Amino acid sequence: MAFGRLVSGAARLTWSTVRVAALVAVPTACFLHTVFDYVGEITPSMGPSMLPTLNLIGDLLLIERLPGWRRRLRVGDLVVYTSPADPGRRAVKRVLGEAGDALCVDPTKDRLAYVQVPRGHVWLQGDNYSNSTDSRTHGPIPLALLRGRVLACLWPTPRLLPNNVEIVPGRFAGPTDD
Amino acid sequence: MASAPQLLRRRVIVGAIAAASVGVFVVDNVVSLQMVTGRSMQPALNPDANRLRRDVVLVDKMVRGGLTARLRRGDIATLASPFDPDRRLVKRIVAMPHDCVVPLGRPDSFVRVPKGHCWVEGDESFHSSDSNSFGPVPLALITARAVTPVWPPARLGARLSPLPEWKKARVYADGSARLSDSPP
Repeated sequence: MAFGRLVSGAARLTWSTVRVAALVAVPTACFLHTVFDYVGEITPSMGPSMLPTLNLIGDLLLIERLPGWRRRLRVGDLVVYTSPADPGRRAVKRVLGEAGDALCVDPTKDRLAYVQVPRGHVWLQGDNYSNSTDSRTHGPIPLALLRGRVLACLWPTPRLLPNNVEIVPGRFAGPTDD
Repeated sequence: MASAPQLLRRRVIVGAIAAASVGVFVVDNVVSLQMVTGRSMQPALNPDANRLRRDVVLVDKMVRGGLTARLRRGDIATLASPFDPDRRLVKRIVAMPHDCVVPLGRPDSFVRVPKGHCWVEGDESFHSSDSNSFGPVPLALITARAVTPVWPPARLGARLSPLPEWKKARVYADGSARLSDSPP
């Protein structure tokens, strides 16, 4: 008798667990995932490449991904992108060039190389030029690899991360010969 | 206290949001249908030259982002165009990272596919802009893998043709053995 009651109790418990999972947990998880995909999310970031803007040992960043965010990107915005060399790696960098811009790959080199950013690409660089793997090694990054725009840092020091890069008007003089 | 009709309305709204988000999640991340336009994958897809007849293909979205090991040479994949994030291309993956490829039209040269990249080509080389023009593309651009056509209904469940032999002869797996020589 007691054993039968135990079995039926266990069965009822299992059934109610499955019901809750199917009717509450799965739709909630899907809803959150969809919101993260189409509105934005909070994600940790780590590493030396964005010093001194972001921490070496980690920040919680607020990422925006509202429809059309790729068209609203401007030079100076912080973005999250997937590394072209490793689909499993994401990193935070700053947009330093848009499609059509001509720029010098690395002004610290002896032999200077210049590129023009192709259609649908951007030029990304970390703020810590001396310790950052970015467009200087990968080349221009396709816009489709960008995963969101960084709006703010939430932790450890909550602050907005506005785009305060000032663009000085001028003409690209092209490579100069010494 | 909410009255009975109010409770019912609330339940309907919550149920609709739940169903919609499960639907969006499945279509974005698990499995979906896609219409194929253009001639670049003839004759595997859109075998009919008629522009009004377009194939609808069942696609596997779990390979999104190119993270899984389930992508193989010869798979037909949809990927975001490197030059326009809103455009989708349908191409065949010809080579995976670390393979060597002899590009079409340049038989004396070869390209080593870098880490995290793949070499994609359309089957109809004359109507296709692919890695032969823009080089290897990051695996992270891949959004889906074609499984089978579902429309027109006559071709429902048809197997998609494998990588053509003459293309295999241009690929050196891991830069050493030619793909067409290796045992199946």
